[in-house]
Amino acid sequence: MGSLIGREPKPMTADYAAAVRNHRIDLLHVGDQLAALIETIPETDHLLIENVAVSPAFQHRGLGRHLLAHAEDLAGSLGYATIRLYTNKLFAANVQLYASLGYQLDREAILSLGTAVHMSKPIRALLDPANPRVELRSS
Amino acid sequence: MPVLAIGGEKSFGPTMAVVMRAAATDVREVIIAASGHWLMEEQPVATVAAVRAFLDQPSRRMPETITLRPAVAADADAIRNLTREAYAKWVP
Repeated sequence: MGSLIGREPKPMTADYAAAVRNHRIDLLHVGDQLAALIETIPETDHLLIENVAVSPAFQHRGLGRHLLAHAEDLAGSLGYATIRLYTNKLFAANVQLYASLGYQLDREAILSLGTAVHMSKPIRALLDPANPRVELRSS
Repeated sequence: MPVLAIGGEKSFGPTMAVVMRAAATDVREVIIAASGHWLMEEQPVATVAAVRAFLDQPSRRMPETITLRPAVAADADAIRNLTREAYAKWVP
């Protein structure tokens, strides 16, 4: 089986010393083992998910969607009405996962390195009394 | 979400999984031998075993001891390593 996209995906070569200084990265541990992480960037009108990664040993257990839900909570607590992410169009399973979690396809951008798929999801209003997670945060 | 698609050998067979894959990314395909459409009536032991095995897969359960914390500067190497491992499946 050859390379799907013919190069290392962008998150594999990113500068994480800088990322951890400049962005929020939440680490998910199972017991004392680092199992997954999500990196978010506050933009002017939305929270951007820059990177979500689950260790191969911990995949297919719901940790990725747990982190996405966490980022959506984070977006709501920061007052955003929208959360966005982007991925490579060739990562079809990822695009399908995000769609199943309520992310809509906004646009595709053809870049020199491939086609980026931009997706977004509306965030529930922070002051929604029917949302118990809001009470949890304010207590 | 893990999805179990069971088809009877003399009925839908692998078609159950083909159909499920239109809506799910994580489909486990099982074909019950010597069975038609009525799996539970025709091959109850094999059908229950297939469902039981699917439900018992430990690796598909959400771990119970999850903690979440914001990263600090000292975590940068661990973040890089985990990300490279996670994305390695997309690379030759």
